[in-house]
Amino acid sequence: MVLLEKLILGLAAGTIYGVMALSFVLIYRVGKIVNIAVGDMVLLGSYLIFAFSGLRLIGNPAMNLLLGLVMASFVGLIIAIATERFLMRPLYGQSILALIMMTVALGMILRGFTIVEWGTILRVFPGQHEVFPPVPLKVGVIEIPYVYIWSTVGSLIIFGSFLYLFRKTLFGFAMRAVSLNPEAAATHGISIKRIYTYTWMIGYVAAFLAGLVLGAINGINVTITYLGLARALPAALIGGLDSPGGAMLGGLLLGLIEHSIGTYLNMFIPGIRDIVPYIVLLIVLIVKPYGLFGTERIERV
Amino acid sequence: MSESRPCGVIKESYEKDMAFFEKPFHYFAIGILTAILLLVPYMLPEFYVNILMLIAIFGIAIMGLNLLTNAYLFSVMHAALMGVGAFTTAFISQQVPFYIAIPISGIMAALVSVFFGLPSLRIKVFYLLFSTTAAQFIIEWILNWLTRDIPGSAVYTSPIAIANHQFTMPEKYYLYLTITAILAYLIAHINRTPLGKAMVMMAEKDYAAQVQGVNLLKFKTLAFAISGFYAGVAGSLWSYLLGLVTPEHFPFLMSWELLGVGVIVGGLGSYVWGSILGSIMIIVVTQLTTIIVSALAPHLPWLGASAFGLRALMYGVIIALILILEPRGLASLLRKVKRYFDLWPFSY
Repeated sequence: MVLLEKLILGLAAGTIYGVMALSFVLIYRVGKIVNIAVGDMVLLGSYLIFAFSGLRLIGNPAMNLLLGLVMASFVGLIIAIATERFLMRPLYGQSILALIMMTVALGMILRGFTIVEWGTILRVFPGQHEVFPPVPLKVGVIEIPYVYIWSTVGSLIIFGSFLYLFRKTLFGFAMRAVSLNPEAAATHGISIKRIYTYTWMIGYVAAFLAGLVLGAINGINVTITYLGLARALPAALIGGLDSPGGAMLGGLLLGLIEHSIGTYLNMFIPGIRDIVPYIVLLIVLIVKPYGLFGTERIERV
Repeated sequence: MSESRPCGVIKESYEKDMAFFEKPFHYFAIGILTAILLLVPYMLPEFYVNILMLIAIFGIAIMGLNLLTNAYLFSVMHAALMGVGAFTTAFISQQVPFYIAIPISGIMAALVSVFFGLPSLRIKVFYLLFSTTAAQFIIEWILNWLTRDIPGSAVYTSPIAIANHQFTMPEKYYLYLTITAILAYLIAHINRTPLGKAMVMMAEKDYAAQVQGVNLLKFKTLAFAISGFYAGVAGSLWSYLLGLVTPEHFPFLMSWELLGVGVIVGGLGSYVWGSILGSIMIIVVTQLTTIIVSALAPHLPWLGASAFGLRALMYGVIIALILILEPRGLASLLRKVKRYFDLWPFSY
């Protein structure tokens, strides 16, 4: 029964890892940018939601948090435009190292800004204990914290709407076209710059949702950066770096592994659970570097 | 060496083409620099000498990382490798003198580096960033685990000494300077060795290099080993400078500082001067933020805790600016100045 509880917890946590991995995978697939700043985007999201829900514009705490998320997302859209315009656009066509280092710079700027603005004290969302009661929900003997239930619902909504957007609409079609071949897409009248901007926007919104959940589970603190990075990278790798569906599957698998094997090992070696995602990452890299659904790169001399 | 020279610079013999210092002026400049560095402890207060030693330490670590990055092998585990070196020194410094402890620390870090670098045979480019990210956190965790019984995880290092004679300030500084000079001299020559030539090919495309007869296993391992050795020596020197080490001294962020500020801002491919410039950048920004925050703290109390954040913010802005304005780093600015004066005053 304990195992079943851990598995359910793992799946619930996995959905949110999947959303973070989605943010990473989308930016990689469309823009060919390895976004190291994903953890910092999550961090910024949780702090922005903290700030906006701190205004308490609506009395109901749940609606208040939701409104905070929406307002933070709008700020995220503006940041996405700035990111694309001022940081990424000057570097298009340059080496992959330059693009990676630019996302590193972006991450440092975002993290530095949050620390300068809000300090390093551990914070909680206003009204968090009313929205996510500390007493877990009991189904039979299985106990599930409320945060996980709401995060699963939120992640699935975001993920489902993204998949619909990506697979079924004309906009998603344009995105896939740009990801396949930017020049050919441009000759067919697709504005690449605009598509890249939209990609960053979706990436930021997904990361901000993850920020809300991680902030509620973990408390809002700088450590969210490493939590986010440590979960997003392995999840994205397991699924394959350029497959949005694989990102969710990778997240779920990672959540399962972390909450079952990680918790089990933790009984023997205290603290090893923190590095289980990294060990998974190393194993995946060595055994199957292109993941479950990723396209294999064929190198020619 | 590999750069094309402007017109007017004529090499008449192979000796001149291979010369380490191309012109008499370079001997003069190096001499002046050496004289200044030797005189520093007598002219400046100890605080600045300490900063110079820190610059030397980070410079050594960045030299190794610069070498690795130039072969298109990315690593963000170098802070952890410095940690391996520092902890090795801290653990054995009671038993053995420094001239044995420093190389042993370097070799330990080199072994760890090779172990985590071996996947580089199978995985490429940014996948290597992921695997070394994992390596950084795993090494950090292992260091924490090793020191779990020690209060505060702080391991003390005994001071540098030969036969009961403890090194005091100028001697310690000269020792650091000598080690840095030796390592810089060695790495400046690396492009003339088989490794350097293999690295140029590997950086372009390692498959192609393999077709041309480059033994990838050998040279990738060698690149990781040398890089790890430099990081280990840097960690060892750090350990002797501070007198104690904890795993918190070598966080993930420091790896990014080494790669981002040290290598990219300093100048990728410019092993000595680029690395030193990057190292100066890291130390100067660190000191600057400390000064700014301590100056502003009485007026703005909330700023007190965020020297760390201000530093990250400044690093981010600097990296972004350098990438947009001067992608080859500060060393290329230096090169441009040099090029200008090469042909001065008749540059046509």
